Amino acid sequence: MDTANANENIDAGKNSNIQNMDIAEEAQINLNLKNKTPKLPISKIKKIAKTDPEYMTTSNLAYIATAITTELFIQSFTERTLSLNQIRTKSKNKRLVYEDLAECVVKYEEFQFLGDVVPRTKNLKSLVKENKVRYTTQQVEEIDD
Amino acid sequence: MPIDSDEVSLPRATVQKIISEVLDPEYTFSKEAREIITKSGIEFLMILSSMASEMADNDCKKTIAPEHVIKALTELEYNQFIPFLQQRLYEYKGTQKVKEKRDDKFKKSGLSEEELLRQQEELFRQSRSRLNNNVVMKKIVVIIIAWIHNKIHSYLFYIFAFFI
Repeated sequence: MDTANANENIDAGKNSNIQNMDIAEEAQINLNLKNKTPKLPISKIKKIAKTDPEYMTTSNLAYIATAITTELFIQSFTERTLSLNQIRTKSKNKRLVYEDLAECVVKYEEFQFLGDVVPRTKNLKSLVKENKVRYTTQQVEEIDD
Repeated sequence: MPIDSDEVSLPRATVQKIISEVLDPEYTFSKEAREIITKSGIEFLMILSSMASEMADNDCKKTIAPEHVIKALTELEYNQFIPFLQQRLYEYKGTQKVKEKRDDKFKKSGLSEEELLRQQEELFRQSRSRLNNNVVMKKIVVIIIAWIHNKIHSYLFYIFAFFI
């Protein structure tokens, strides 16, 4: 091969290497950006916040902070429920259900505010026995004390 | 529980991703439980927003700022979240700077979006053809080596070598 051609090829190789690096760099940057922005969509967060009658103007960065914190909360709830399940049940069942969440809410103070969202369920029979409800075929009614 | 079409919720797949990050891989949540987790997240969000409003009010501010969200966490006794939140806010601000830089670079280059897309496609095409050339070169080299070592006998070997 001509040395001239060879040199040209080397240069072309170098340039293309640089271009390849740019593409790879770009992809890496995009990945980093993705990992560091909150996963929850800000648009939904805004909508939810606005359902509050006492809603106040909120800066974009404050919305980001809210999104991040909500993600942290979801993970905290998940982790606590998981560890509670692992401590309490000796079963090898790896499926977490409603009752596990309800249990977590009862046990840990930080989740008490979810008392109405995740109430412990009781079956109808035991409630009737405890004289807490009466029922007909049409409806179930709570008995007020 | 029927889903109220008036109520805003969070995307299921996103909530699942967030859960998966911390859940042991062998574990799963029931569908019902996942929905409850989403509802709980929304409930938390509302309480947080509400408290952040209060904090802004106390500061005589008309707009909620991130610092009010942080104060709200203290009031709600979720102090443990604060260092994580601060770290991630810091990282987020960093990404915004990178984005700005990148956008400026594009603006300065004076190229339209179409031109940029065309250039990008050209780069991909070049790298693809280079990759193909390399593979063909390697196959040719292997076949030549195989021939040198086996001269007459192994037709099968040539074929095998070609398909490596």
